[in-house]
Amino acid sequence: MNSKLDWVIDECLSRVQTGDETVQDCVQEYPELKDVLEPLLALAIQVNGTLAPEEPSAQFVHNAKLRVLNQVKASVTSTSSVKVQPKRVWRIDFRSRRWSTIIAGVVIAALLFGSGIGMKQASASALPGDSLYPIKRAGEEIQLALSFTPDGDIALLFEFADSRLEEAQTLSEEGRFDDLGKALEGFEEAMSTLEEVAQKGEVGDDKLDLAEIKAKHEKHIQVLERVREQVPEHARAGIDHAIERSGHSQEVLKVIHEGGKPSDLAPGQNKEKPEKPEKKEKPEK
Amino acid sequence: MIEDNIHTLDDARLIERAKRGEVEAFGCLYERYLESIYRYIRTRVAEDRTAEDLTETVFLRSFESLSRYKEKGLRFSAFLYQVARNLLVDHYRQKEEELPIESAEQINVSPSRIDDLIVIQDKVDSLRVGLEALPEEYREIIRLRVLLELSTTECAQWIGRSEGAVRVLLHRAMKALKRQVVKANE
Repeated sequence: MNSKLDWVIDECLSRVQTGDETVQDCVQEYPELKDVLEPLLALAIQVNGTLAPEEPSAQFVHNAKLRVLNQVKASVTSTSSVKVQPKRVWRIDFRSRRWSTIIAGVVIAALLFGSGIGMKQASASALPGDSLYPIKRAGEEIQLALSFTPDGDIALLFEFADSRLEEAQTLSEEGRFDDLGKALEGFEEAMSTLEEVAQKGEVGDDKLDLAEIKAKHEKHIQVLERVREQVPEHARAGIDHAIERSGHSQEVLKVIHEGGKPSDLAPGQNKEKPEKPEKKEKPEK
Repeated sequence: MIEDNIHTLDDARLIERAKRGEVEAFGCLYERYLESIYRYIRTRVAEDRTAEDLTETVFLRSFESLSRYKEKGLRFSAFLYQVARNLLVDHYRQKEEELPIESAEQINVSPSRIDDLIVIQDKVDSLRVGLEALPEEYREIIRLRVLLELSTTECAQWIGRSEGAVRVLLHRAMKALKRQVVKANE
């Protein structure tokens, strides 16, 4: 008897859930079980109607898929690349004058002797972690060295910052999260150098157009936030830092444009958020 | 063309391809089971955001463990469910705050009158209290069979019991819940 009741409850629940029948239909079919069947089915419907979880949001479904598949792709790539060809790690400090000179010499020589043209073109799409990437960055160093005005430097540094963000975007799309940090570091480095140049040099007003700076900053934030959506949790801190850096650079350039001194702006300080009370300086120990 | 073909493949074929490193095959499995895994986790945690993070982790861990997965009659959805359960255990261990599933849920109805809202809230509260008082085995079958509306066969696969055992469990769980709700309303 009990096993029949177990079966009937389960069967009727299925029919009610699919919408084929109502509780009353089931009760009519099994009138002898009405006293047990009716309250239990009604309770099941009530529990489902009040406590059943919602479906995931469409945005989550889409973004999570990108993140999951990017990580899967990265793990597949790293597994196969380790076996087939170990990735070579470049540890060159390009800020070192010695290395800059050496690389500049090599690249200039390569450019002069023709074969460098192909190399330069090939390296244009290189990403952090690629073997041609150092050539690309060295080429940028040379471009910067050959620019003789602060205005030219600033234009180039904005270009390099954009380039680093494009790299970050591509790396996140390809699931190469280990190399993402290098692109973000490069972005912050470009913004930091840009601030230094703006601070030191006599920059023409037309090159520090506030509207243009704001537009560039907004574009940077858009790209960084897009990348942030595609990367796993552990990679987001670097992006948040880059977002903060971009905001700070905008503030510095704004202060310079207004004829002020940016030295009072600490990294992360954003004067455009008045709702946050300024923290009192801690007394020096 | 390839995309169309891949979407028509059964789980076993997709798993085979995913094991060979075909990301798109794993993407198909993700699309197939995301909703049920998310909704299951959502019955166990208090916030959408937590459920989203855990769901994502379930799929990543599943891919990592895919080489060890052998079908042997175990559906892939049941495999994902096992990964989700293990992950929830870790989650609660870390947080030290196992929130009863019942209090994690939201009311799905929008009453137009305040009186209706009070009545519904009372019902929801009594259901929650009733569910909290049940043994975990009963709560789990109610989550799967009643809240997620999984079929008896799927439930049996997920919890590793026979279909007959699922029916018995459901009957007992619903009877126990009814007793608890009556008690809560007294």
